[in-house]
Amino acid sequence: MRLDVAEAVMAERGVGYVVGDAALRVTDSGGRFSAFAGRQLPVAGDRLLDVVPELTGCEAVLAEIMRGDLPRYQLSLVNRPSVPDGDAAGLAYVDLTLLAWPTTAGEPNGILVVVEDATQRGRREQRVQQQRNELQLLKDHLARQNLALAAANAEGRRMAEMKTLFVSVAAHELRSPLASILAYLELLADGAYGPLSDAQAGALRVVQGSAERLIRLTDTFLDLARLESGRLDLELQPVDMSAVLRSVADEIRPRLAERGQSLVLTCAPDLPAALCDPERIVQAMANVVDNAQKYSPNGTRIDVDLRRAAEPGLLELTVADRGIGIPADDREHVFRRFFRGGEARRREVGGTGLGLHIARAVVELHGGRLWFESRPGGGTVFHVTVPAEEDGAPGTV
Amino acid sequence: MTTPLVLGRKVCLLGDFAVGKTSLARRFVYDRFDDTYISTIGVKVSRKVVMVPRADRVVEVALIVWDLAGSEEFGAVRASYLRGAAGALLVFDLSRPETLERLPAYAAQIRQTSPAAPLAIAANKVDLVADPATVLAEANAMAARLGAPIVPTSAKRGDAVEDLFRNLAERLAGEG
Ligand SMILES: Nc1nc2c(ncn2[C@@H]2O[C@H](COP(=O)(O)OP(=O)(O)OP(=O)(O)O)[C@@H](O)[C@H]2O)c(=O)[nH]1
Ligand SMILES: [Mg+2]
Repeated sequence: MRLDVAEAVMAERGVGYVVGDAALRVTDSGGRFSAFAGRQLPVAGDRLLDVVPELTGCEAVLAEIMRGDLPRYQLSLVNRPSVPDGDAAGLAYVDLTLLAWPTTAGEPNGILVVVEDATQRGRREQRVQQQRNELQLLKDHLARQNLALAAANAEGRRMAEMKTLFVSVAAHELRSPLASILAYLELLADGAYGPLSDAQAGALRVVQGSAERLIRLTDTFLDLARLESGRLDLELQPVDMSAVLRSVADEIRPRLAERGQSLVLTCAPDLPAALCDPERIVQAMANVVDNAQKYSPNGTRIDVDLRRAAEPGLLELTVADRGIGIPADDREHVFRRFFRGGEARRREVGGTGLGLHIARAVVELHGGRLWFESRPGGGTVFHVTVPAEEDGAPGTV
Repeated sequence: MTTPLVLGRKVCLLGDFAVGKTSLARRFVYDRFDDTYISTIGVKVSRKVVMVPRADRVVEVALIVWDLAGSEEFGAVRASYLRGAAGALLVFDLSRPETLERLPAYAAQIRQTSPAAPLAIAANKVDLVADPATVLAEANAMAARLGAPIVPTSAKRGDAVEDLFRNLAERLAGEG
């Protein structure tokens, strides 16, 4: 082959070469080598390791090749930064191939280093790998975040369970001594331990009232704990709702009287019985009526109506007060645990802020609904639906 | 006066992608750092001389640092990169503990080509973790199993990077 042809092919293909002797001194070089070396074409006598610094530390490999023990040694995609500290911009890549190079007979072999431009391939592969690695980093990062979130969630659930457990244990522990206090108070009031003066009887009534409030409070907490742990079981049976509402009304009358309020109960005729847990439904209704009483101004009227709901198979109860209504801001919080309206916060209305929360949960357990309509200044109407016992027999308890 | 002895020693940087191999090499050789991640393909070779004092003379160890792409696959291409390595630095990222798990695989690669090469472990990016104690405890156990010292480093701040390479250079100078 003519030498100038060989040079033309090497230039076209981006190939260069350098030849070294057994002492690793340059004897020849050509092709595009200078382009990769980033310096002038090496001259005879230069140290091979200076012109191809990547071969430093590879002396043992070079010796193996020159001895003929290793046919070739290849290094692909050797990075050749255009500036020494190697920023990616302008990074070039070369493939190096080392082969034994025979010299004159009797002399030990030298070495031929072929250098091929691999910049295009290198940059392409680099882009692909870069994307793959960045994607993987992102995935790993997300996975770590998910793990942390899962741990936090588990911790949150554990705390919630602890709280529920705590509330129910505390309520149980409170309830039995309270029950016994109430029993003895009743005996005292009945004169079982001797007659009482008027003053003593009066004081005893106050104590009894407080103890009853306490026991109601512990019952409320117990219900909340049962609801939250999903352990509130219903015993469904036909219940005469008008009787339920009458008893609720009787219960609340003393508090109505204190503030000059009144309650008007209207029941449609010939209503079927509701299918309810009697104890639970009394409590839910009492909570709704209580709420209306608390938020009604002094001297106003509360209307309680019971009729068939528009939707078949349901009874509907409405409790309408003439209060200031529920402000728009509060509407979505009304059924939240421990929520107390602005009125309650201002006037120090008693209560835990649990009544409506529990009432709704109980009604929903029955398959009914509890909601309200309110206009500022126009009062609030609470609606409750409960399932009716299948049509036919009028309700009996 | 005795002339210093210069030894060229090839040292390979091994470890998963993005653990900071290129950054450690760059900090060691050029005392620079870059926050942008440019993944390495193939190999980037750089060189720095470390002076190791000995009883009778100073040994200059020219560390030829081979910064490789993170890759667990061991094949002909990988083997030719590792060939002739006198020592290796195994690098993992303290902020990604899973990168520690793969050090034994990298140690096995270097053992296959250079069974006697001393190793050192870089627990890199120590600047990123508030409490590296738990990961480091695990890493210490791993280091003991691999028979390699471990150095918490930060290529970003420069913490212990010099110590890391010097540790290896001293052990390589010992072999004369
Ligand atoms: N904070 C911090 N970041 C670091 C440190 N070392 C490296 N980084 C960053 O981590 C990323 C990856 O660093 P490289 O040095 O490119 O990682 P590599 O191991 O060479 O990655 P491959 O070449 O893909 O195998 C880059 O964004 C660096 O800036 C460190 O000590 N601290
Ligand atoms: Mg790199």
